[in-house]
Amino acid sequence: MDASSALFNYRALRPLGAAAAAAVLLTGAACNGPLARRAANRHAPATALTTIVPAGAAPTAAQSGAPSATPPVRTDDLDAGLQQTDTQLSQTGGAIGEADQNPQQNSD
Amino acid sequence: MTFTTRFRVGAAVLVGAAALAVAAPALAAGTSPTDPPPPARLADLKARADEAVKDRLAQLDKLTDRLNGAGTDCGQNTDVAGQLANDRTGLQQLDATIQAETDGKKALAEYRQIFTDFRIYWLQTPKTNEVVACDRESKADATLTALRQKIQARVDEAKAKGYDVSAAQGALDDMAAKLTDATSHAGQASSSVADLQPDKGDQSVLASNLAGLAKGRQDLRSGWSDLQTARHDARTAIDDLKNLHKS
Repeated sequence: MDASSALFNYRALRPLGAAAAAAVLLTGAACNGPLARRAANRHAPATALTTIVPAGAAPTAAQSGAPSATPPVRTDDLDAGLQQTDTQLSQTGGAIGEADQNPQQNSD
Repeated sequence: MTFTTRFRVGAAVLVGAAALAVAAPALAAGTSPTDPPPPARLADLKARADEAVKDRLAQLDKLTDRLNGAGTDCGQNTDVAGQLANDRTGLQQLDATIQAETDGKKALAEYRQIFTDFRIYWLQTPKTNEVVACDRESKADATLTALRQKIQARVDEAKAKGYDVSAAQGALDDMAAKLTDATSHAGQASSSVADLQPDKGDQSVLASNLAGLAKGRQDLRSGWSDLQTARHDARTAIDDLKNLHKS
């Protein structure tokens, strides 16, 4: 192989090399998202907790970061009672919404 | 989508929103009902009357079911249920009279009574809905009252153990006041609308009925607000109990 043919081969292969390099970059970019997510997930907590707080509800001791010492009186049944109340209030809100509508628009 | 098209769509959306904004207060104020124009031919009028009566009987069934399913009684359920039953009988009798009518003028007057003498949609429907809403408020009020008593017992228990319960007690006192207010507002709503009568074509009675219904809705909203505050007070009192410290 003389110098001129080597130069020819280099010129001929240069576009292919550029294309290959671009492909490697694209593959890397495409893989980086999932890989990065996977890496992030490894550092994330095992379970994500979602707390739904009713509008206007005051933060609980746990939410506000207060010490979680055992209260001097029982409160778990009071929390359950409040949940039951929420169910009733939800139904009440629905009934009020229905009553709050204007008289039907069709003539009567 | 070109810029011009986007601009036109955006403008149309804005115009629509503006139209709604203008129309909403008028609807909320309760525009006067417009009775449908009667058909000219007697046979058509009879058919239309029968259709209108059947439609209203179905609506009466729905209202009666709603009333029966309220689960509690604010005090007016029996009264309103009786009215709905009377409406059912009255509409059936009126339909029978219209179907047997041979005089066009009489049939026309009777046809109009389907609307003016019963007002199933403009009066009985919102009235029943308000009474049922009062029932629901009353039920929620009773549940919150029971919960308040339970929390009060725990507050008393904590106090006996030497804890400072002043914050929890303050929340409970407010809760009691809000529950009393809620009962009062709901009761006012229900009792003020229960005896509203169909206007029979009298515009002043119609206006008075619509105003009465609007006032009832306002009372219900006030009661609802009281209940929500009472619920918030309960949450506060429970949280205070969880964070008690010796006084």
